Amino acid sequence: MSITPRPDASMGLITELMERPLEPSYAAAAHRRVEAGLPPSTSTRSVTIVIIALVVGFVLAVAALSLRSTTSVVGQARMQLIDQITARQTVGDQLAGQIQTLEKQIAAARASALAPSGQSALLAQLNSLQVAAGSVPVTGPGLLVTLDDAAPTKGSNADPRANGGFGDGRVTATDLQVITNGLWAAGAEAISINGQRLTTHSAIRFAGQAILVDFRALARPYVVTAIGDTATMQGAFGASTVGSYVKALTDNYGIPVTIEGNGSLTCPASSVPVLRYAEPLAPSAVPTATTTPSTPAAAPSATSGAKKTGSAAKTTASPSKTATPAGSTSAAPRPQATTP
Amino acid sequence: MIPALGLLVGVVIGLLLHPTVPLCLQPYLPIAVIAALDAVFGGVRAVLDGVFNDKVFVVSFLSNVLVAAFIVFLGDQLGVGSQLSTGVVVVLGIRIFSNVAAIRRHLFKA
Repeated sequence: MSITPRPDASMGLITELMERPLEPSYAAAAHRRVEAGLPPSTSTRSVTIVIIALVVGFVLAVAALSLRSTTSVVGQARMQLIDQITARQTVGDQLAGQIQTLEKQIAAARASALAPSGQSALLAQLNSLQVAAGSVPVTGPGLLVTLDDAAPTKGSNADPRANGGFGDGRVTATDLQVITNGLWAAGAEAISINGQRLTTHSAIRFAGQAILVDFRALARPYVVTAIGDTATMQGAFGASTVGSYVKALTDNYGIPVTIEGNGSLTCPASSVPVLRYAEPLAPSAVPTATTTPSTPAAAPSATSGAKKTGSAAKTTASPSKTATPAGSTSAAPRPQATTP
Repeated sequence: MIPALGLLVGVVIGLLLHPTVPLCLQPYLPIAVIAALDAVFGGVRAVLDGVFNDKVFVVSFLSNVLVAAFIVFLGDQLGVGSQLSTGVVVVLGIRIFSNVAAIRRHLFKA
């Protein structure tokens, strides 16, 4: 078909789109058929048309299904994982409760076995060792250090990956490590964080966004309970480098840190660790204050000094903190029953 | 009417079979669907205009789908994939709109 070119032929694209007549091939084909004497339109009932219709319907359905289902699959998997996590956590908590009951039974049986046979010195030594090792709850005066995240990040319940890991205002494991070390150095005799007693096997580390103590994730606010002489600890803590660290946290990052003395604090017990490889050096178990030189850098091997003697509680407790802030698993065998 | 039934049967078969689309074809699926829709609406309008031709319909359907997929593929290779696919979607959308408007005029005389 010959059409005289329009005056606005250069706007061909726009006119094609906007004033679009039907596909020109239809008109051309109809024209040809009319010239050949046939009706202008072919039947719509041919096999090809039915097949094409089937194919189009099929493709529509497949496209709708495949482009829609991806999100729900991911969501389902996530819900399943969350359910599994909560189930395992309840099991872990139950087992921890069982462990505590059994330990109480063991302690009672041991006391009744040792007391009548006149081994009261052994029993007294055992009790003091237990206090130092953190396997019995203790009470006494001390300091209460409370940390929380800075205000802007506190209210954000959004996806924590959105701000790319620890924002400036979040409390990190390093902060807790420094503060705990400072408290030990200031004279604390027992420390617990959010109800987790720090023993010779405890580590403060972080994994992902959570701070872990003894492999248990803590929720903020973080309350560090340190039992010791209130006045001495407060003075030594404030005067040390940790005191200026804490001040820098408050001033530069807006992390609220409160330190208050308390006349009566309690630190709960933690479970008794089972040592598989460490053996006492002198089997006669003479109570000497052997401070085995366990350097903080060699953290995995720092816990190999069997049962520390009770009187040296202050000096022997500090090396157990792993100095590495990265979330790498410390290689020490951790036989305590913790939630998986 | 028969082709409409064929369309329905195709949709039902697709829903029942639920085939998995190979991962390499997945980006082209939306574009192919829109191109197919454009050809289908063009065919319906031709039927209502009285100039339907099945050969033209088949050829326009296949060429629409292939050309649209090819343009998206080319855009991906050149690095302008999203822009080209936006352009294709815009053009096909305009064509679908004008065809549907013509069909509406035929059906409802309004």
